Amino acid sequence: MAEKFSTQLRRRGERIWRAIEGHSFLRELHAGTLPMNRFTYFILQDYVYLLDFAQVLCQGGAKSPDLETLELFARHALGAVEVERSFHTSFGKSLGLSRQQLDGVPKGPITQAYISHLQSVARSGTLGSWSPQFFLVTGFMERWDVASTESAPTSRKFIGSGSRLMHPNRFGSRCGSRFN
Amino acid sequence: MDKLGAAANSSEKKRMAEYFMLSSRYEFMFWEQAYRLESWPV
Repeated sequence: MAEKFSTQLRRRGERIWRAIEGHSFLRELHAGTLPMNRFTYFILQDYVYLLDFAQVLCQGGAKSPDLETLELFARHALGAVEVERSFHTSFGKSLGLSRQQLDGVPKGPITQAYISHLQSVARSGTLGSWSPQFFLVTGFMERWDVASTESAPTSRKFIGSGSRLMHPNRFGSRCGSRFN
Repeated sequence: MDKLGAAANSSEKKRMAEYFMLSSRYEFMFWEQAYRLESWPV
């Protein structure tokens, strides 16, 4: 039997995913040694990223061939919006930033490039051609879960009681589970 | 996703894989950007 497409992609991307899991940012975050300014930079970039990402997901919904696919995109878009809202109330407050200030955070070079890439693919491609990266990115949307683990003293002051917890070792498998 | 993959022809699949790899690399760079506190060079 031919190897499943998702398995092929997972295998091809594995080296990059491992590099993410082993990245100094995550290692230092979990060791509690990540400098606060790097953590704050990350949070703010994740925030401005999600605003655009939610819209890209809506474009996926508009291209969905069936109810199940539409539901998937709509759910993830709503999920992204909800994360945005919780940013306003938790992180914005902790950092002393108003919603206007949060929304006005300039995109870093990679945030801009990443978003432009997603937008161009969403605009031009068929749903089939860009769905793998959607599944990838929704997997990585969990990056927030990774960053908000309670084992990270750097981020602890930001964590509300209801936050989703996740250990970095489970990062890859969590992404993988979205995949099939 | 396998449903869409199964329906795709080989050139579509190739493009799917390219987008996928590119997004993976951007994802790595997103963390990297924060670690380096990257700003626009000009």
